[in-house]
Amino acid sequence: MERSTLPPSIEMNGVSKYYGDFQALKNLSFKLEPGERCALLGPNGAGKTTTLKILVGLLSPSSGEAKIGDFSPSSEDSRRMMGYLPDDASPYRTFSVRENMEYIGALRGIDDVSDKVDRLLDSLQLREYEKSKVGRLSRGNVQKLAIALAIIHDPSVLLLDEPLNYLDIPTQETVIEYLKNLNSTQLVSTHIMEVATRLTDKVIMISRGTFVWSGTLEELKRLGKEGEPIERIVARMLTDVL
Amino acid sequence: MFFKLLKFVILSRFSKQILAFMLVLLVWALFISSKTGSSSAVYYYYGPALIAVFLILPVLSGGIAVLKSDRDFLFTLPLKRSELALSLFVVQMLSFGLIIIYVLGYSFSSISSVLPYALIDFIALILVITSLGPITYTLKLGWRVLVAILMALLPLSAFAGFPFSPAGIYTGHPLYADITSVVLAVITVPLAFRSLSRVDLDLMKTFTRYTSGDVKRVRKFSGMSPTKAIFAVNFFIVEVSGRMNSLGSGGSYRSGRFRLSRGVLVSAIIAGVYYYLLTYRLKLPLHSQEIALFIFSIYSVIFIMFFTMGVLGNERLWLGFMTRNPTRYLRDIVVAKSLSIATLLSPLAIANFLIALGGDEQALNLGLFLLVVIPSLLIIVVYLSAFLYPLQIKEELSMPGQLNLRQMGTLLPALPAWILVTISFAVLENGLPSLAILITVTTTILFALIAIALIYSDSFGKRVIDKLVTSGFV
Repeated sequence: MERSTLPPSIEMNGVSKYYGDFQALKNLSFKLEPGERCALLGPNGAGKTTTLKILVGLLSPSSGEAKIGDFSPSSEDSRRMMGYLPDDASPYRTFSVRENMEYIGALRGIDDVSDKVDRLLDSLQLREYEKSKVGRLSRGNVQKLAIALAIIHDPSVLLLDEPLNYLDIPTQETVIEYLKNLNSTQLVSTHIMEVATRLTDKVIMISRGTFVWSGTLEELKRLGKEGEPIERIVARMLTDVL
Repeated sequence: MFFKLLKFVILSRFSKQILAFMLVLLVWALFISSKTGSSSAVYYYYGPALIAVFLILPVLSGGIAVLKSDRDFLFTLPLKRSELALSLFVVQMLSFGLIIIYVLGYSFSSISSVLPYALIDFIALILVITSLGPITYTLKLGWRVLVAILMALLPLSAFAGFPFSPAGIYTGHPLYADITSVVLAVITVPLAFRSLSRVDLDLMKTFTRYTSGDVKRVRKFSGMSPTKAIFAVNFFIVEVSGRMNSLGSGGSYRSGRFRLSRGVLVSAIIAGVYYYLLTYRLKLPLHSQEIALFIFSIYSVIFIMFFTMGVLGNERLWLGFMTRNPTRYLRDIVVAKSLSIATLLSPLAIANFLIALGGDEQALNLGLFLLVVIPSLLIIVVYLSAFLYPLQIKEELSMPGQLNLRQMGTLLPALPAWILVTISFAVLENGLPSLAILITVTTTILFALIAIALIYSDSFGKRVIDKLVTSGFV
């Protein structure tokens, strides 16, 4: 699983995005250095999902540039490196758990798909559901499968939208351990500060499509008063912008 | 209160425009019926066969027109169960009844001499067909297949001269047909009401008990190249998805799959029977045979639409589309599905080519239509539906949204095909077979070229992907 090479950086340079007349992102810039794990924080409608969709190449910016390492997000090279988990991720509903994993593994060009699938089934406690159709699974097991599909090719760049949603506590711990052991640059969009603190070391805050603040979790804590919960600090910073 | 509830339930499922459009279709069917005349023997087959289809569909697909918001909100409100049941029943009737009247409308002129009996028969049948879905949706598949066979035998028994067939209206037994249909309605309607009045209690139980659980045979993709994996899923497996019966059977979304090899086997058997009947058995007058082929062309397009609904609806942008260039992935899956449909229909196309060799030019039309036009239409409809009505299916067994006219707009690409087939048919009727063949071949080439142009246009492919992303596909 460990790679000897450094994973690529993630970069947004002056990115704006319009949906018709509505501007979802306004000249947004930030950079994650290789191997950094960073939380993307922001209120509802801040532009987090749009940011992730641009970074994975599913949306094109109206202006500005997004880069994964030296590549455009829509290039074949960056697609090979990236793993993406959207919010409320839904795998192929008519496939079984194993079929989903083997199909995506084959599309990703993994040589030993079967072995890889077996390892993920065991580590994410999905073995008993391998023949179950996705439509029959509980929301928590769907999320486990979605995570497995996002990381099946050991991506060196991971873009995750609320990855711990619906997971029970033991599975959350398994996933956190798994993600921490991946040699990858990770951007995690979340509303929950505890997820941010468990999965990442750094925070990027955006609101209404614009950059608000960026720094380490320690720096963020230092912005608050003695003993002030980190959630309250974030809430104050985001409210000040609104 | 009841009428408010009824209005709410209807309009949350159908837009006003689509209800108006269905009425226009009905008038169109009656117009066509008056033009084709009552002498045509084809309705002797057409009527009972379609009644059989409509009796089978609700039994096999089951279901009630339920939106997710109904389960979350409407069913939790303190409403009278009887009023709720009646509202749901009326919606079922609209979703099934309108389309039944539409397709049977084509045969009205052939039964004009027994019209009062026909109207009673059709109304009773609509009530029966509406009731069958709510009654049978909790049954296990084996039981539903048994009920479906019995229901199919009833109208088809008219061919054997059984007077008490509900399709007896077409075979000279209008009074007996009415008696059977009305008796069936008297039995099924109260049962349907009983089922609908406890829908909120039953629904979740049904969801957990009757949604299929494990797959019987897990497909293996280990060692496959990406292209081979795409073909394994999209060519060798045929997936039929969508709101069953176009508008009806409650409009709930279902999907099923079968192996292409099995599909081809069934298709070959049907083609064999079809060839035998048209060549040796059914000595229909030429005019009737042409109408039969024409109707078959029209309905084969509607049938094929079921193969297009799941192509994008079941896709996942964050999975398949992330593994390679999205436009290339879209092209690969659409081409694989189109070739799959062409293979599935090839035995029927071959049967038609053989019939054409026997001198029936219209069969050549139909053969080319099945082999080239329909697979090309699949590609065109998939691409255009992304613009007109992109809808991702995230949950089965409930309506993904209101039925509206924009959704019907995805059928628009079929319109030129229908028009050209109609022209070809009309030209043939006027004794110009070579011109008819020229029109058919031109239609075939035109549709194939449009399909190829769409799949190889990178800019169009990118616009499709953009549209899907901005429409909320994940």
